[in-house]
Amino acid sequence: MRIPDSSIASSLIRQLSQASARLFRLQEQVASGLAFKFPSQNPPAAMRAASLRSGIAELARYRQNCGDAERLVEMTETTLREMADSLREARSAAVAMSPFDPDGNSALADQVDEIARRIVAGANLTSEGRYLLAGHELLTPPVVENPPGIPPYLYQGDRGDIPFQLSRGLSLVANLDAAEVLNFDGASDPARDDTLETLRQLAVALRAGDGDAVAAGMDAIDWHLDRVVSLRAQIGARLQHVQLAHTQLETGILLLREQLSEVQHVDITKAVIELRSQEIAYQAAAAAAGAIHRASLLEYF
Amino acid sequence: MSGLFGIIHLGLSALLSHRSALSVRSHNLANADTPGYSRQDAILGANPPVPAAGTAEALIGGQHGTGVHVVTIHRARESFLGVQARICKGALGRYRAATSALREAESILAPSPGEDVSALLDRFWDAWESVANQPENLGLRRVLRELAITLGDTFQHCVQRLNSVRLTLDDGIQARVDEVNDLAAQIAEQNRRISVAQAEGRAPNDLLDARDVLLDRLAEITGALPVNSEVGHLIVYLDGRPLVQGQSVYPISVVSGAGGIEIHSSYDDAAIAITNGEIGGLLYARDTAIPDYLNQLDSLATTLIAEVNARHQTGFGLDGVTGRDFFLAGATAGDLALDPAILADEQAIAAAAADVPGDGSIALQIANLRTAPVLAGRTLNEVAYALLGAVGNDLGAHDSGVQAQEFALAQIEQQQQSVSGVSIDEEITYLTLSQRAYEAAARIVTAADQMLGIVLERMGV
Repeated sequence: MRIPDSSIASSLIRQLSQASARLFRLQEQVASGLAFKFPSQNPPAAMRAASLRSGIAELARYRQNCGDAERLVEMTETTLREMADSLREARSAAVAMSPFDPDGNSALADQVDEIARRIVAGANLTSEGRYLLAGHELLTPPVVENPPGIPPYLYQGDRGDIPFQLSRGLSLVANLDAAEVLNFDGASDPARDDTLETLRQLAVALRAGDGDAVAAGMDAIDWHLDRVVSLRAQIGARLQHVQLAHTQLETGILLLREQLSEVQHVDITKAVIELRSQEIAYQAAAAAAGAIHRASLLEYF
Repeated sequence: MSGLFGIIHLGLSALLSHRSALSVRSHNLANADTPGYSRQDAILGANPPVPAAGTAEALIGGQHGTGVHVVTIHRARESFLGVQARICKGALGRYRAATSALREAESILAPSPGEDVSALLDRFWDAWESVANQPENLGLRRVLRELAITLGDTFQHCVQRLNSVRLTLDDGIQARVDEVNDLAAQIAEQNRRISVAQAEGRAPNDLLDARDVLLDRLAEITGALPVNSEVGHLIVYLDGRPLVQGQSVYPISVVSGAGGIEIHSSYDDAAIAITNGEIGGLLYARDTAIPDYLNQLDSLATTLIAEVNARHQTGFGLDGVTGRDFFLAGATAGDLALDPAILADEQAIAAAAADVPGDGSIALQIANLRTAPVLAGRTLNEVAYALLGAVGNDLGAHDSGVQAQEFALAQIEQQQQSVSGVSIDEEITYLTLSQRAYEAAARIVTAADQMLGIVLERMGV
């Protein structure tokens, strides 16, 4: 086969340009750490990476929801604990009633009124300007004094659920509403008064020194206390649920991140070794070409 | 048997023939680096002997040679390889031209990981879910609105830039059509010169080389192959219509059509389809690939608008109003924007299923579009990945096409060069040979001259 000079020149140019294209690609990979920069360099991997990024975004959203739900549940739980403490205090006050000490009874009644106000404050708990126990009416305080007549307190919430998505298609209601906690409008038991009305009646009974009424009030408070405690247990279970979901999401995100890294990141060690071997190949091609080009009959004629 | 004068003539024929051979070698060396040049050979042949066979054979002991002459100047060319090379060049031109347009489209649709439409959709759904969790929070609503505006701008930007790529492609087609007409005129002129030279009985080697260079470029632009290529009367067809027929040219022209410019032949004034070569590649990008991306963007945008609006209309804003759109109704990818009411006031975003500030159930429904298969069984995000995949696959296939054709062309050109290329070492060897032969011929003349001198000066003196 005849090998004319132009053939040697063009094949040299081709080999050098191929070698430098490979060098450039490897250099780009090593510098950026990414296995590909554009989808065309590896279309299936690019689609997979986009899908993994979306998957991570979705899980990160659920993780953020978990955080939000956790805060809400924790605040609700704290409120319930304070309410339970307050109700226990009210019960102690009722127990301390003495038929022979009207002044002391009156002081106990004042204490019960104060407890009622504390419970109202707890029910009207706000976070970032939202009333947490108001259902969907979270710009309106759920429990307000009803100025004239009886009952003295009015529930203004709408008992709406505030759900948080913890995973695809699975929501958890993170809020409790004041009606359920305090049995407003007979939300939990239509036969019973709401907590604040019970406390009001207890205060009236204490002031009157009416032992029977105080005993009935103690029974009623026990019922309310049981209710708050059982709701606290329920909300505690929800908190555990959210925390478990949170941990699972962290793991899920970590796994997806690892997969994404496998798809889109280059194995640096391998890339650097390849870069070195390409450099040597490039130098060898150049040296070989130089040797061929130096050899010519013109040197001898 | 030739006389002394005959020997001088024989020497002369050798001088002339080897001078001619030396000039052909010099021409080869001079054109060692000329693109499209085919190596030439002076083919030498012995002159007819005297006397004719059978005449006075007994007397002179056989026929005597009368010297040498140049039979022809041969052009080293393998026409089969030329055809193969042109086929490769047509395909390579197509892939290369389409690749540059597709690369542009890719940089528009996949600017960098995390900034494409699918990533923006992710952030858009996220913003809706934030609003669902805190529907009364005006800050989160503003974030959602800004993201929706960015999403709309991104769609618009993609459509505008893809359309501007299509317009640039029109310019590229126009420029190549002009070049085709220019090449056609030059080929017709070469046809004329070749016919003249052939009529005069000369070998038009350099003219044929020059025409081959023109035909190569024509094949690269249009994929057209010449018919009857080794004869002066050469024809090039484009989509069944002649572009060059011997010395006649039927120029092509661009005419504005519905989907951009079209190419018409002046032969029958009809539109012609060019599917190969650079023009074929540009037309593919303009008429098939980019419109496909635009369609996918459009169906993505219209589904997004329809699905979000359908849910949004059932919801209530913080201002208690229901039945409003979120995106401007009837928009497409090219003019995706928000409803004026949403633009004017973020409270108009309908997150609630009833007129209460704390209900985010409609916002949650919209956020859950993230995972809803609403477009032909796929989620909107999946459609966005598919678009990335389509662009990547198209471009990847064209990149591989370029590489494959470049490799094939390199192989063919290597073979072509092996036949037609100039090897300097080889030429120098032959050059030396011709030089020595020339010197020897001069010695023949000198020897015959000395013999004549002896006859004239010393015989019978």
